[in-house]
Amino acid sequence: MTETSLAIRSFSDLANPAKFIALAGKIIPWMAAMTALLFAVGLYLSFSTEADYQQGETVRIMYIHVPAAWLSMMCYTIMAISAVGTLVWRHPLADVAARVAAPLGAAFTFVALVTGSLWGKPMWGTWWVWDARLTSVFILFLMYLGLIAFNRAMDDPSRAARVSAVMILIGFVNIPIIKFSVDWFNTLHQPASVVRMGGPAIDPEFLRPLLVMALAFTLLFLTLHLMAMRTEIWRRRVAAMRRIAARAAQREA
Amino acid sequence: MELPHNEGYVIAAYVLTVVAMIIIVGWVLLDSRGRRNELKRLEEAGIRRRSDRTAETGKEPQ
Repeated sequence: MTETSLAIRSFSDLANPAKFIALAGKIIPWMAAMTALLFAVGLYLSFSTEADYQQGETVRIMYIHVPAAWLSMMCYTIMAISAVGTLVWRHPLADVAARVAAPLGAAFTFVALVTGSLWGKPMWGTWWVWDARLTSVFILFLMYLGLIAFNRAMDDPSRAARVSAVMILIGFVNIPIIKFSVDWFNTLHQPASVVRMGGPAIDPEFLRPLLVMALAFTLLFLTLHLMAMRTEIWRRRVAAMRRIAARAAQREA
Repeated sequence: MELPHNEGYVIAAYVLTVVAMIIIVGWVLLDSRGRRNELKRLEEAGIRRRSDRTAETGKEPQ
């Protein structure tokens, strides 16, 4: 394949896996470097800023808890958009994107749950309560695990894609429930303080490290997602080539 | 007001997050390297997909 044919000229060119891999190979190193840089700045700010007058040092847990929680929802939203891409446009990369996002989403949801629990013990006096926010995020975690298990159980990825897409879209109802649970229900979890009507309600001293860490985590997710998508395309190529090899061996026999 | 001393919880939260991130990054990297090597081995063995043959000859598959 010639170099010029791998150029991305329009959005639809990304549907070509070979072009996608060529583009991913070019931008992944830059994204990884940016991620590392943002984490360096973010972690420095997380530990150099002042402690909260009420929460004390535990406010620093927020700098990882909030980005992880935000990514747990963003990842599922990306999966839902990909599911629409699979069902409506049959975009060849949509299923790849949804499939590889699930383990990443599970990891970030796990981090959100664990760090939330570690903040809850000293601040609320309990590791866990079954309030609407915590319960809906726990359900999100279980949904990620369910989707991973389903994808692993199916041999043929193209057959799994459509069923998986329908399941993802049904599960998407949980995302607005998570976001608005703190407004709709009486929860121990506090209401939104960054993305809310009327602007952020937290002091710039805490907002700065929080936003840098959120950016770092988001870029980390996007880098990993792109790498995992490329790997999944390779995995499918390997499977296709093995089938060809097996057929050739059969003919020879 | 004296601030509460809860550094242990903060350290535990950061350590667990770092461990989780190392596991997920490591898994993505190892998976990537593994599949790339498999692909290379199969190509070295002379196995070509139909689309690879098309790309080499510039002809559409029959």
